[in-house]
Amino acid sequence: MKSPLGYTLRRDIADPLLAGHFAPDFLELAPENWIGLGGIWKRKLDQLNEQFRFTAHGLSLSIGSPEPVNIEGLKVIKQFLDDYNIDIYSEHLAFSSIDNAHMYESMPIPFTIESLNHIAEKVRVAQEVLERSLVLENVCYYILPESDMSELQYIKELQQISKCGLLLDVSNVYVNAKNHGYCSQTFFRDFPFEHVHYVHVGSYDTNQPSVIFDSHDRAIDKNTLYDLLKIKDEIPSNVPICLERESNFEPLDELVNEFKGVRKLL
Amino acid sequence: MISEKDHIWQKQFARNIRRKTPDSSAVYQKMVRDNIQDNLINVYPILSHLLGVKNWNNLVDNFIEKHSCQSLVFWQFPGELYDYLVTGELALKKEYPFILDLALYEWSIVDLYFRKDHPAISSAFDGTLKTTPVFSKEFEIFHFNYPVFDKNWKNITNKGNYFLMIYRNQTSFEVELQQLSPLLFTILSNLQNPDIQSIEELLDLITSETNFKINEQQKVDLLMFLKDLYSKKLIA
Repeated sequence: MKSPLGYTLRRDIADPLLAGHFAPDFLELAPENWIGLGGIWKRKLDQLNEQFRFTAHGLSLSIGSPEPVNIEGLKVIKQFLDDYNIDIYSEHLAFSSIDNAHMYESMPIPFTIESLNHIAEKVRVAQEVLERSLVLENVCYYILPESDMSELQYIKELQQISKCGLLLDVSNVYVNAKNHGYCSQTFFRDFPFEHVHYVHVGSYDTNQPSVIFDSHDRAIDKNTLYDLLKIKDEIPSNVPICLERESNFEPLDELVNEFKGVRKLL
Repeated sequence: MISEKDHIWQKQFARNIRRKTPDSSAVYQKMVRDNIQDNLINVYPILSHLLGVKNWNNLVDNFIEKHSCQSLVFWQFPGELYDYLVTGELALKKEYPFILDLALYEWSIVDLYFRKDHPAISSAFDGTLKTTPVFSKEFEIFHFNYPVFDKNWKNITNKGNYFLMIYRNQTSFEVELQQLSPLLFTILSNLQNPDIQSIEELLDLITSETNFKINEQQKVDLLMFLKDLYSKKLIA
């Protein structure tokens, strides 16, 4: 059986989705973009939830920050997940808040033994509050703090200790490999695919002189698709794959055709 | 426990991003700024335009550096720019005296559009002056010192007293506004005081405290206005 293929839910494409112009198998949303909404957007979200299964990709958990888990914030997210029958909740293996301030961006963590244990404990607490698995994503990092191990070793160790699920972002592997001078295939060779609960493929900006940026604003690059094809048989069957897109939704036909193209490939 | 070394690195890294310290965090400085800037411009299109690029960029930089954003929810954090302006940016407020009113106005439009449904649930209003209505939280009244709602921005420096109600239309869900008379504003703001037992009692109170006699026609107009709010489900 083929993996379900989903798409990022942003307000920009809510109407075409509701009108049936575009029919992914599921929609991925960031709870932080939808929590607390009333009015027309609450109604549209409810209607979308009647038509589509949702998955959630969080932005504010900040699992990698030195502070303990924000329990109250997590309870708000849990309520949202419950309200919309969302089983899969993923977050970034990064930190996004520190010193009592949200920065609304995923920032890199040091891959050290101490941070590993600290994050593993936070994962345990988060899973207890959420009453579901926490699925952690390999993020793009543009600088690497002083570390004891590689990103891949860190992910493997963290999964072993915390039993978290893994979100494999195929594009992020490519971006990190290019930016930090290694081959994405080397990363994939030892990746613990058996613990992958969810997959992302996105796009990146290669127009900057010295660095490739994770951008989610254009069609998926052929390198990502190539990587995805190479590893797809390693990924457990039925694991959802989400095409990430956060901006530039026009023209819609192009998105739909891209989506259909990826579906055919898989 | 995270090591002290890791902790210090993370704190310093975040601090350097917020302070725009020229160092290896430059990529993240741009990412954080671009993201926050995009969200703020969407919420404050007039304010950002009227301040001009330099002042606006400085304001965003100061906001990132000096204000610790608390909102977990992305659509809500731009409201914290107004909170920041209330206590900071004295020079900017002196140069642009309408800035607080404008920020509050622009944020309130967005907030009322997105905010959670809060219908007026208890039905206290019986269509007469003998009761007090309960207000929906999708309705707010404002006293501005500058005409920030005027589509002609050239008028924005005309200092005065401007009363406005802003609400979410319960059918279209669009945000609508209506200018209020000073009397209507006074009545509406006092009607939200739980100690007031009836509209009649409030009108008597206003008369005794201000020597302003509310005539029968004004009472009829008030009742019509309240019935209109009732039909719009903004009071119950």
